[in-house]
Order: sequence, then structure tokens, then C-alpha cells
Amino acid sequence: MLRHKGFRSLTELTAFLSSFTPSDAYYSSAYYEKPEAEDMAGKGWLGADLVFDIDSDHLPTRCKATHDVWKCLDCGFEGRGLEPERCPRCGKRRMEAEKWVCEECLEAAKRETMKLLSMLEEDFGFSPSQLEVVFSGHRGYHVHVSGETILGLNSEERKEIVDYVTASGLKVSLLYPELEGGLKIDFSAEGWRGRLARAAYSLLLKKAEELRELGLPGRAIKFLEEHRDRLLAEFLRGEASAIPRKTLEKLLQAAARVEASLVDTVVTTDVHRLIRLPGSLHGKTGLRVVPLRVEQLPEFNPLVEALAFKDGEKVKVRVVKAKPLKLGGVEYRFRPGELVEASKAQAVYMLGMGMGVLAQPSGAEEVV
Amino acid sequence: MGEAGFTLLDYAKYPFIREASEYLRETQLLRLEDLSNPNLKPVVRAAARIRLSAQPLKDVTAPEIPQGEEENELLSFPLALALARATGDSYLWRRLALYEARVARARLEAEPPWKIVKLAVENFGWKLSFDGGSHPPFRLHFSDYLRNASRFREEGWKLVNQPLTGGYVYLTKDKVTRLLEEEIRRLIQGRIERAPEVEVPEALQGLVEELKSYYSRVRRSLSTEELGVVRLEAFPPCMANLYFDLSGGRDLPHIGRFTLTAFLLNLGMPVEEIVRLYVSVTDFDERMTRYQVEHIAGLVGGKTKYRPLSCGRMKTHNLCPGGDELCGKVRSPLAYYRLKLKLLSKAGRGEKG
Ligand code: SF4
Ligand SMILES: [Zn+2]
Ligand SMILES: [Zn+2]
Repeated sequence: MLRHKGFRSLTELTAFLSSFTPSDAYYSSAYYEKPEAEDMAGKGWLGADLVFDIDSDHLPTRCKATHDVWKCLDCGFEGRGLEPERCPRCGKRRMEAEKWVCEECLEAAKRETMKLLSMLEEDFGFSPSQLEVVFSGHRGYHVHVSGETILGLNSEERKEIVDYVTASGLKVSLLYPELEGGLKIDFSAEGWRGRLARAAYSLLLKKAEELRELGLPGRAIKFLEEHRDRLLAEFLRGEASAIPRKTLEKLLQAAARVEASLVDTVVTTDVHRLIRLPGSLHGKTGLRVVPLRVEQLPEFNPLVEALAFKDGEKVKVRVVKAKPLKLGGVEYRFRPGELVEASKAQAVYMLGMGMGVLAQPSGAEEVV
Repeated sequence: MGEAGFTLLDYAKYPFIREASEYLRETQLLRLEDLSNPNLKPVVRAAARIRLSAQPLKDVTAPEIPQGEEENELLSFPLALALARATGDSYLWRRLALYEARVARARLEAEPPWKIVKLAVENFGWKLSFDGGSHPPFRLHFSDYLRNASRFREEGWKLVNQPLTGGYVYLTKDKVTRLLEEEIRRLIQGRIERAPEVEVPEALQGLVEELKSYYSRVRRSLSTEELGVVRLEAFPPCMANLYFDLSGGRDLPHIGRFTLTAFLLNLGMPVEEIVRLYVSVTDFDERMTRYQVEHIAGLVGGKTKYRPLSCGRMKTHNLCPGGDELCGKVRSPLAYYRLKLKLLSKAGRGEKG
């Protein structure tokens, strides 16, 4: 790995990249007096952009049951889906997981990103021009926030922002304190107070199974179902007297879980972070790290629009790991050992992700 | 509303503000060589500021500023900082900064909103405004909020529990002055720390020495004040020793610090207060201290809440000074504390009855 490089111009940078051709390129989110200095102390930290990292890797999506497997390194217990924090059999924490990413995973990452963007705009007051969304080239998105007000924030202060968007440390009792004459439900209230009210209202419209999935206890669900119409009407009037305090708290807590944007805390609070360079290619997938304007995100499909290689020349690839793949709008299903005629984009993805090896014309196959 | 500029009285009340320093520069009132008599009013007042900072700081009241004394009062502030600097005692610096900040807060609470806004905007660059029609009425940019509030660990200060919209947090006057106190404290502490080493006039050397020894005398009783709900008189000998070593400015071995922290946490002392205790009686870096205390409390890292060492392990680490009578009845410093507390409250009832 080559580090501590500095460039004076874009031309200098592109000249370097095209002659050195690294598999992956990163830049630092921090600003330094002397970026080329070899030790961190000598660089002279001036500030850092705020970069949120959203990775589908740790999002609990249903598709994970079809493409992820994990194994406890202590007792050998295995399972499918997102790996648990502790082994359900022996309780240990050492897990080995084989993860994959699919279209559904990327959609989930996009939803988290959209929730984040709306909080950054509405609550934090950033204008769309201060926000840049970047497809990471693999499993998720980065949101880059620039601007004077955030440059000097230390990691403790950034942690507070992360806690805000993930609703960590949110206290319903502080946002909705017990008041004389009942509490007020206010859809237009600032911050989480209003967001919880709006989300709770939409939860009231949901079916029992969905509420159960959100972790609401059975008794609360039963109550909400039985009194739905009355509660909806009350909420619209800004009241909540027909609902026991405990049940209301459970409902609002579930609303917080729905509305939270699950960003990665470690990456986001780091003030010396290396971030994938927008416009470069991801070394494993060959997909482009695509910078997007906020309003482009809803329509963006990375598995179509981030393809870097588009010409028709075919490449022969031998499948070694049969995983589902969808690229450029085409869905592929493979059998292990199968020889496929792949497009360039598909071949790069398969080789980089360890799904396949290059099939030499001579028949001698080489593992890349 | 009588909105106007700051007056000489305001400079005396808030002597750390930029305008107050400018006033001193323009009037050339502050000349150390003219002030080299410990009986001059500003010097007497400067020494008083330092002595007051050695009193318990829980409920600070702002001293009256008599009519006609504004300039002396104003002058005494930079003088107090210079005297503090000359003592070389960083514990004194932190206390003085905290004291001055609390005095300022007490005064700000009685001010009209425009003055609070003006002070915060002009001196700290806060994006703060006031709108009597909204509730709560102050609006502060979240970055200014975080710079100060991220140090308070109470849930009620977490950003996620604030009304935040369009980049601004809505705050009551009470919260704004609390945040300002923090900003003022940092400003003053930084000013003392960064002040150039100046030669204190011959005639004031004695005063500096006197303040220095005054502080070291009260240091011990001050650290009791900082213990809050925890009762020092119920400490077992081992913990009392560790505690006095620490508050006397002595460096504790790592294991000693660990076990004292775990002890205090188990007595129910909040993380924030323990951090404040360490930072106020030692030279520990606040961030590292907080990290360590939170780690022991199980808030970060392993999520395991630690208990202090048992008497047996205290002995192997040479941390048990040899027990008293009560020690014979317990196996851990925690058990000692609980037992002693019971005995103390019995004795207390006995006296009354
Ligand atoms: S016997 Fe236990 S409680 Fe008593 S001083 Fe020794 S370590 Fe502390
Ligand atoms: Zn196991
Ligand atoms: Zn998936």
C-alpha cells in the first residue's frame, strides 16, 4: 500500500493513477497542512469532512438468509443469514461469516441513506449542495458532508451526530414528558419529537405481523389493533389519552427503530478516515465509485449504472463459487464448474469476488 | 427593549469579553509596575477572586460590584489570571476558570436575552438568536451546541433528545447559560495556560506564595466536596489512602487507579463526577480519563462492569495498608464501606434519640 501521497492538481493525480494503476484508490477525509508528511503528528490536522458510511453488510435484510452463512469458530454451530453477535449454542463471540451482496441488500442500503439524507437536510439544515452521495462500488453508500460548521468537529462531537441519526440514547420520556392534562402529539414538532409522532401514526396503520417484526410486544399489538380507529383520530387531533403510557412508549420506541438510519459509527466518527476515491473503480467488483447528487439517489441502480466496462467483447470464465449475480439488468444463475461466456463487466466482477477464474484458451486455468 | 452596547459595568461583570480587554488596552489602566502594591484595591480583589475559587463551587454567588468600583473590578480579573499563572499550580488554574465561569453564569441568568446573545455571538462566534414568540426561545446552531454539550454526559443533553430543526437547537435560557459557562470556562483556562510567563513584581511575590500555600492547604477539603453523595468517612483505610494520594497530586499506580474508580462507581458515583474529580485534582487528560472510567463502568469496550479488588488481592498488590478493626469483619473494601455506613447511621440516630 502506498500512503501519504499529495497532489497539487487534478492533472498530477490522474497522471499518477494512470501510470501506477492501483487496484483501489482512497483519499483522506481530513485536511492537513502537510498531507505528504509520513507521520500523523507532522501532518498538522486542520479539520475533516463528515463522511457517513452505510454498508448493507450489517443491515438485517431478508435476502441474507439466502446468500449469507456463518459458523461459530468455537463449537462449529452454523446458520444462515446475518451472523448473530453470540453463538446461539455456546454463547461465544468468535464467528466466521461468508457474506454476499445482492440487489435487495443494495436497496436496503439506499433506504438507510435516504433516511439519513432527510435528517441531514431537515434537522441539520444542510443544503443539497453541501451533500454528496457516493456509491461505494460494493455494498453501500457514503454521504459526504462539507462546510465550515462541521470541519472542526472532533470525534466525540461526531459521535453525537451519529447517535442522532441512529436514534441511540433517544429517550421517549424526555421527548414526550408526562404532562398534566395529557401529552401532545405534534406531527410538526422539531427533531425526533415530530419524527416519532409521524412514524407512530403510520405504524398504527400497519398489520399485526409487521408490528411484531418491529419488536412490539403482543399485548401492545392487541391493544393497538382493537383501538386503531380511535387512536388514529386522536393522533390527528394531537392527543394520546386513549393509550396507556407504557403502550405509547413501546409504540414510539418502535417508531424510533423504523426511522433510525443505521450508519457505521466507527467510520463516521473517525477524523482521519481513508475514503474510497469517487470516480475510481472498486478493486473487487470493478464497479465505479459513483458520485451522485442527492436527487439522483432514488432512481440510481448501481448494478446498472456503476458498470465501468461496457463493450461487447466476451471473456471465458470458469465458475468456482456459484452465487447469484445480477448485472446490467440481467440475472445470472450458475452451477459450480460451469464455463461461461461473460461480458467484460461480468467477468471482472466474478474474478474479483472470487466467483470464477479465467479460463485460458489452452485449457490451463489460473486462479486470479 | 433597551438594547444597547455593553457598559463599563458589563465589562466589570464579564471581564473576559473582548470589549473589556480593548477597554483596558485603550485606557492603559493595566500596567503591572503601577500595581506592585499588595494593598491596592485591584490587587486585593484579584487575590480575593483566587481565594473564592478555593471555596465549594456548587452554588456560586456573584459578588456585588459597588458603584464607582467598576474599573477596579475589571482590572482585578487580568491580575488574578497573572497571579494564578505565577503560582504554577494547574489545579488552581482549573478551579479559578471554573469559578469565574460560574460567576459569569450566575450574572447572565439575570440578563435580558439580547445581552446573552451579544456576548455569545461576539466572543465565541456562536450562531445564536432569540425569538420571544417561540418556545423555547433561544436558537443555537448545532455545531456550537455540540462543542460544549458533548462534554456533558447526561441524557438530557444528548443531541438526539433536543428539538433540532434546520441546523438549530431550540433552548431555554437556563440551558444557554449552562453552555456559555462551559465556553467561558474553556476560554479562561486557555488564557491562563497560554499566558506568557511574566515577571511578577517583587512586591507581589509574597502574595503569590501566600496564595499557593493557601491552595495546598484547602486542597484536601476541596476534594471531599467533589465526592458528592459518596461519604468519605465510611471509606476503608485502603481507599482513603488511594483517594488522598490522588487528591494530593500524587501519581497512583494503574491498578490503584483502577480499583479506586471501580470502588467509586460501585458506590453509585456517576461517571461524569468521577471524571471531573480526576481532572480537577490531577493533570489527567480529560478524554483519556473519561475513556478509562467508562471502560471500567462497562459503558464501552467489553461491557463488563468491574468490581474493585477484594481484600486478598489488595494485599497482593500492596494496596492494603493493614486493616482496622472493621476490616477483620469483611473481605472487600465495598463490604467495609456498606458496613461502616450502617454503623454511622446507627450512631447518628443514637445521638438524636
Ligand atoms: S482489609 Fe480490605 S478493606 Fe481493610 S484496608 Fe485492607 S483492603 Fe481495605
Ligand atoms: Zn458456538
Ligand atoms: Zn442481499
